[in-house]
Amino acid sequence: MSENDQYRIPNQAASEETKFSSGDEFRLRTSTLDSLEIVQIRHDIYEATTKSARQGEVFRTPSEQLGDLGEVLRVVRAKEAGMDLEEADDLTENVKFIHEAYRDSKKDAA
Amino acid sequence: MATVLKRALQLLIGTDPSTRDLMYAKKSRPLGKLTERELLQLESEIGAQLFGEIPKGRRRSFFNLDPKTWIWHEEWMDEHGELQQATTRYEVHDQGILKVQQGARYEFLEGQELDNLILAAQMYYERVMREVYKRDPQTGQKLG
Repeated sequence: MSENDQYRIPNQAASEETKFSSGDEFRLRTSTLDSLEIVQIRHDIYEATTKSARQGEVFRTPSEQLGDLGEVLRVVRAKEAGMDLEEADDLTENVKFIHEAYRDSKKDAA
Repeated sequence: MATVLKRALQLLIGTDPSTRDLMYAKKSRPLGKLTERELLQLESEIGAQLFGEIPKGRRRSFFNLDPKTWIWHEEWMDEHGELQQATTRYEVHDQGILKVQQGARYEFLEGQELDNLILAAQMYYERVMREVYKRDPQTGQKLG
């Protein structure tokens, strides 16, 4: 997987018209759709996610995988809903900073 | 973003989440806490960035609503200047991931689309845990 590898994900326009049964077919059929978004996954993020997926020795179905992620997020979200004001404001500022840094990194990559 | 999430949540849960206003109006929040809804908005801001640049004039949300539901919402102006929107709900069922769109269209995901959704959810989880909650995605422990 190289830094420039790109993944396509169905957007509304594509998903309304196309059933994605294979990668090659998907790329071929959607290459002419102007509104199709291209997912550019940074290599380090891809590596982190796939590595964590590989670490599980027990096979998890797609439903179990998504359900697991959602359940963890639900619990964490509920816990964090009790944060105090100072932490919350710091968090907001932190997210804004991260977003700016992320946008800058994409500009640099381009 | 606030408008997008607000509309998406209105569609889904029928409430009026003025989350962004609440988030920045710190002096008007006597309890000083972020609600789960406000946290969802923070998550959604990250989710919207997972799929590359958003075309000008288009707004997007992608977020995990609850353990059984992932939401993709987009808004854009059509050639007549009218606001268009589309919401896709991905429901987690024991037998698979059901994709639900407007117009009573239902289908279980398969193939590349299913792989893409799982990968997107994993990226969302990794980034949200680290950037919103400052927790290690693997352990759930607070990052130092």
